[in-house]
Amino acid sequence: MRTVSFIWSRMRGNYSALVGSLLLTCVVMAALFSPLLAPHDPRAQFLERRLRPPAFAGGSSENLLGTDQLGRDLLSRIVYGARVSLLVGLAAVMLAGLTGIFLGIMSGMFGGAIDRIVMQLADVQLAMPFILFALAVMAVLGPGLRNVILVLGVTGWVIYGRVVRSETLSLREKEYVEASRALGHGRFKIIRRHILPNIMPTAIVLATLQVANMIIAEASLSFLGLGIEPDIPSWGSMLSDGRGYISTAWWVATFPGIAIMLTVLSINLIGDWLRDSLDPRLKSSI
Amino acid sequence: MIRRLLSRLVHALVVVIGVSVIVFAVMHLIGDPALLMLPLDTPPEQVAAFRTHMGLDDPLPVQYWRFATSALRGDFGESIRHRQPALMLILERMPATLQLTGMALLITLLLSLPLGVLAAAHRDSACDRLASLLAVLGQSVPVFWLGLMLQITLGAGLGWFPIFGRGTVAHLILPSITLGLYSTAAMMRMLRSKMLEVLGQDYIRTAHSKGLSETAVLLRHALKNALLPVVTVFGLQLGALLGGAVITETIFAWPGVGRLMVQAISNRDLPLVQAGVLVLAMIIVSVNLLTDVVYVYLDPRIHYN
Repeated sequence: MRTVSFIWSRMRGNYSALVGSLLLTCVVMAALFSPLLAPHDPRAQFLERRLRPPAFAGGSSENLLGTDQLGRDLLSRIVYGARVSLLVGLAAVMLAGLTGIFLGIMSGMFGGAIDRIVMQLADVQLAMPFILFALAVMAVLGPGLRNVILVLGVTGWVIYGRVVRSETLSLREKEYVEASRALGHGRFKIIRRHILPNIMPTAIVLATLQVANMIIAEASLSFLGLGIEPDIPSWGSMLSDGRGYISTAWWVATFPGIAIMLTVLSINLIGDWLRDSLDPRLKSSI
Repeated sequence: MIRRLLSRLVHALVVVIGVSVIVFAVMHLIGDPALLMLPLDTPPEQVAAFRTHMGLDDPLPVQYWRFATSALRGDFGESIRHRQPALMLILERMPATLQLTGMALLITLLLSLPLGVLAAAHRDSACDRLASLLAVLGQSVPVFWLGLMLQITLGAGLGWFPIFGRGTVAHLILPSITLGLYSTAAMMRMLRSKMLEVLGQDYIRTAHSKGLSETAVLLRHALKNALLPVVTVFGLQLGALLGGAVITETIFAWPGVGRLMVQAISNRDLPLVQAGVLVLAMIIVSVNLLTDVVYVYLDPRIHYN
C-alpha cells in the first residue's frame, strides 16, 4: 500500500505518466480477465457473419468492432490478443534482461578477453537487421509462442549488455567498491552487494522501454507469418489477416493496430517517466 | 588518425566475419539445412542425394570454410527457388531498397531537424508539447500498421497514391513516409534533448550577450554542436531503416532486398538468406565506419582521446 501511495505521489504531477498508467491498466485487465470481458469465443467462426462492419459503421451491436474474414468477433480477439502481447513482451524482456545484465557485469568487472568477446558479439548482433535475423531464426525453429519468446529474448540482450557494462565500469571505480575490495571481498560479493543494487534503476528503465519494443517485434513476426501459432489470437496475425481486405473491410486491420499502438504508447509514456525519475542520464542514450 | 581508422577497419572486418559465423551457425546448427530447403514429403534417398550435392555431409568447419572462401569471391551459391546466383539477385534489387531508404532518410532529416530545433528553442511551449507528443506517437506506431493505414486512407480511400509496386515518384511516397516515421521521431527526440543541453552552455550565453540574433545563436552556435552526437545516431538509424525496409517492402510489394528476404525465408531458400543477411550487414558496418570517420572529422577532440 505504501509503495502504491509513493508511486502515486511521484506520478501525480505528470499527466503523460498518468495517461500511460491508465491505458496500461486497461490492457492488463483485458489480459487477466479475457474470458469475462470478451463477448464471444475468439476462435468461434460464423461464416454467415463474415466481414461485418463495426456497430458504429452500420454493423450490429452483437459484434461491436465487427468481424473478420471467418466471421470471428474482432473485439473478443483483441481482448484475448492482449494476453499474447503482454506475455511475450514480459517474458522476452526478462530473458534478454537477465542475459544482458549477466554479460554486461561480467564484461565490466572482468575486462580483458571476456570484455572483448562480449562487446564484439554485441557489435556483430547490431550489424544484422534485428527483424531479419529474428525472421531467419524463426524460419529454422518454426512458429510458436515459446520460439518467439526465445528468439526475441536471445536477440534483445545487446542494449542491456552495453549499458550495464558501462555502468559497471564506472561503479567499480567508486570509493565504496575500492573499500570493499580493500576489505578482502571477492568479485562476486562486490557484484552482489554493490554493482547489482546500483544498476537496478537503469535496468528497470531499460526493461520497461524494451517491453514496448518486444510487443512490436512479436506483432511484426506474426504479421509476416512467422510468429505465434495461427490458432492463437494475436494482434500481429490479426493485422496480417486484414491486409487482404484493406479496400473492402478496413476495420479488420485498423482495430488490432490501435490496440498495439495504445499499449506501446502507454508503456513508452511510463518508461519515459521512470527514466526521468530514476536515471535522467539515460535520456541521451535511449 | 590513420591508426585509428585502420583499427576501426580491422574491427569492421571482425564484425563481418562474426556475422558470417552466426548466420552459418543458425542455419546449420539449429536445423538440418537439407530438410529446411526441401519439401516436407521429399523421399529420404532424395534428401541424401541433395545433401551430397550441396556438400552438407562434410564436417561443419569444412562447410564454413567453403562458404566463407566462396563468399569472399562474391559467390554465395545459387538461389534454390530462382536458380540464379544469390548475390546477383540481391544486387538487382538493391537499387530499389537504397532508393526507399534514401528517401526515408531524407524525410527523417527534413522533419526532425526543424522540429527538434523548434521544440528546444521554445521549451515547454505548445509547439514543444505538440512535437514531443508526435515523437512519442511516432515511436509507438508499428511500421506495418502505419503502412496499412496509409494504404486505406490516402491510397484506397482517396486514391491519391498507388498502394503497391514501384515505378513513379508517387509510388515512393507512402512507403518512404511509413519507413521514415520511426527514425524521424527518434532523431527529433535526440536532437531536442541535445539542443537543450547545448543551449545551457556558457558559449551560448556569450553569443547572446554579443548581441547575435536568436536565429544565428540557434543555427550557428547551438545546432552545429548539437548535431555532433546526432551524426552517430544517424548512422545507427540506417540499420533500423534497413530492418524496417523488410516489413515496408512486404506491405507495399516494393521490389527490394527486404521483400526478397522475406520471400526467401518463407521459401527456405538458404543461400539467398545467407547472402542477404551478409550483404545488409556489410552495408551497416560500412556506414558505421563512415560515421566514425565523419565524427572524427567533425570533432577533432576525438584525436586526443
